[in-house]
Amino acid sequence: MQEEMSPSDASGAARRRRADLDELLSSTFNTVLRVEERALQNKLTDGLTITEMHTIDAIGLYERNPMNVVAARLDVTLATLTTAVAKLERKGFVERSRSEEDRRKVLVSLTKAGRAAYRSHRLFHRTMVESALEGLSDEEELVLARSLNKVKRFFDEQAREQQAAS
Amino acid sequence: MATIDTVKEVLQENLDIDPETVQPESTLESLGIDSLDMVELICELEERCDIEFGEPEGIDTIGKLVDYIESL
Repeated sequence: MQEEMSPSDASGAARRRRADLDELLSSTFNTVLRVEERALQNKLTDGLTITEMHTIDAIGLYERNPMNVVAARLDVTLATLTTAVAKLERKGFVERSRSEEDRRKVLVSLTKAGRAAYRSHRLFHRTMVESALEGLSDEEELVLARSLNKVKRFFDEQAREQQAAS
Repeated sequence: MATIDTVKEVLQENLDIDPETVQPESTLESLGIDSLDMVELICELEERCDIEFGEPEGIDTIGKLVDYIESL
């Protein structure tokens, strides 16, 4: 990708801003993860890792899905999901059952404890986003959403290319 | 069992709240029920009342909770 040429003083400022943004993106990402990790230490989610929490989220509150549907949502292989689900089943958060229509098909769903974890995770995200954006005006929020969307598209594309290459 | 009584029972069993203090107009806040307690409460009520509670917003009193459950 080629950098756009601009007058030297402007390009100095632009470079600094780019460096700041680079730092800002990585540190925001890391902080969000850290905050989320700590938020998982409540009575309803105790003992769950972030990855497990996201697996619970992908299974869905009241859904009973075939394993491959959940694997696709998480963008992981069936083998990876099977291991994760077995562990979550031992911890009491999910259950597996056979489909009535097709006995060969295994369906995965949340138990009561799984639904409690799902809800407390959603609650955490809702509260986090509300508090984090509290200081922004409607216009700032809109610009942030639009800009982040564009940046995200780039990263999604990168991820796809990397996966295709490996 | 009336819905309010089920709610009282769950509140007592899960959060050790005295049923005498639970009235329709009681706010969740006045009973010391925080949002995480509410999550626990909802999951318990789903099982006992065999309902799908969903993720509604704006339930801040026992009365609203009871009305919502009965509307399901």
